[in-house]
This record gives sequence, C-alpha cells and structure tokens, in this order.
Amino acid sequence: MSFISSYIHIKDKEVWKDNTLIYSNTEGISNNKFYKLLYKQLAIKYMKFYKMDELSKLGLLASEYLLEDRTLTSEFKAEDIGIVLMNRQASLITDIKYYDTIKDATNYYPSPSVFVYTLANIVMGEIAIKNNFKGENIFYVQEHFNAELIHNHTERLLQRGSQQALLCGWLEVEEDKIDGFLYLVENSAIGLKLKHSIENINILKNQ
Amino acid sequence: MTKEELITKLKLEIIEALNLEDIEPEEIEAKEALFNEGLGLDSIDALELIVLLDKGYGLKLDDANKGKEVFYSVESMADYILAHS
Repeated sequence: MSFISSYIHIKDKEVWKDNTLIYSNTEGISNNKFYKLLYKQLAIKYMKFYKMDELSKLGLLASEYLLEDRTLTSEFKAEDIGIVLMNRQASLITDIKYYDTIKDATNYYPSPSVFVYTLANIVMGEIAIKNNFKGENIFYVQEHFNAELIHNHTERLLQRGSQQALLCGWLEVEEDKIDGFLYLVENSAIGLKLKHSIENINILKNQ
Repeated sequence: MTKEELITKLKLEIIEALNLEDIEPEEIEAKEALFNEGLGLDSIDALELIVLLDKGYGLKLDDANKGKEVFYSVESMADYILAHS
C-alpha cells in the first residue's frame, strides 16, 4: 500500500501545506511578484530561479515547500524518485511570450531564454536538477485535473518497484491565476499517512 | 558615449536581459569573467548576449570563434561595440 505523506497547494496567493495556511498575500500583487516573495520566504539561494518561466517557478516553489523538511536523495536512490505532473494549458503562457518576440518581422529577435521554456515538461527538469532526482517522469496535458490518471500511473510505478517516491500534482499558470498542487507519494506511512487513493487526492486538491 | 558610460549601460542591459534580479550593476566587475566563474552565466545566456548585441547595437557576430573573446567580460563587450559602431 502507498501513502500520501505531504501536500502543498499554492492558489489565490495563498500557500497551504498539510491543511495549514503557511503564507498569504492580499495585496493584489502580480504572479511574478508573488513568486519572488515566496522565493525570499523560503530563503533559498538559486539564481537560476529568476531565469525560469512562470510554470517552472511555480513548480520549483511548490516542490521546495513540499520538501522543506525532507532530503529525499538521502532516503532513496536518485533513480527511484520520480515526478508525475499534469495541467491544462501545457506551456501556453510562455509560448505566447515567445511568440511576442517573433511576431513582428521588423523587430524579430527570438529570445533563446524564453524559447527553452516552451515545453511544459521543462518544469520537471528544473525540479529534478534542483533536487538531483533521476527517476521516471511524465507530464500529462488534460482538460481538467484527472486524479485517476495520475493515481494509476503512480501506482504502477510503485507496484513494479521501479520508483520509491513520487512528486505528483497539477501545475497551472494563467494570466491572472495560478494553481500549484503537489503531493508526495511513497510506500511508507509517514507524515500525513493518508492512503494513496483517487478519492483522497481529489479531497486534497479541492480543499 | 564614453567607454565608462557604455560599460554602465551594458551592466544594466545584461541584468535586464538575463533576469539577474538579485544583482546590482556595481556588483559586476567590468573586467570580471561573465561565464563559468564571475556571474556564472550559461550557454543560453550567451545566446541572449548575442541577441542583445544585435538588438541594442545592430552588431552581428559573424565569426562564432570570436564569441569567447567578445563575451569574456563587460569590458570586452564594450570594446567590441566601440570598435564596430
């Protein structure tokens, strides 16, 4: 049997961890300002953060909060830690930003640093690089949050023993809203000790 | 524009183009290496610097082998701009 040991939900300029509100901002700030405040609050030193697109910033911050008190690579082999993510719009917000750099033939300067983020799965690479995870990863693009799909994929990886711990969840960035929901699934009953089930995933996501 | 003014301008442009949000212009030494050591820039940053030269100064780096020399430091960039504009 597998368990959800912890979760993080960044939404509506609030950060919730394991049913507790740990950060809130009501000043009507931009997404980018919000990410910067969270970065400062986490007190991490990772210059690459500023170069990331919104999706990667959200994913990295959510993973940092989720793993704040854990070092998974000291508990599991790096190859046994995987990532299963999902969202609706893939990297659309960054695709548009990149398109803005090439749409005008008289001002045609394709931005390399924007281009490298025009794939949704880059966020998994950023999380993996920061944490030295070398396990399996997959990014699903679905119309709505599909707990069943994530659950079934994660369970298959755990049951066949190829992965021991997985960061799973939903990372969606839009012009005026963000929704970052990550949870940690592993075989041991620690932390929340919540049974890894489709029902429980949906309960956490919709809280 | 004097070389010193150009160096100051370049520092601000590099900070903006490369999103070096936690770095102040005065923290960048004009002669300091931009890559590996120094600011620790990477290959994508190098491409952004090429775009910066093109977009901001109308300069295209025709000889790729010269990149290492031109983008070694802010000062070497300033020297290249002054010599070619």
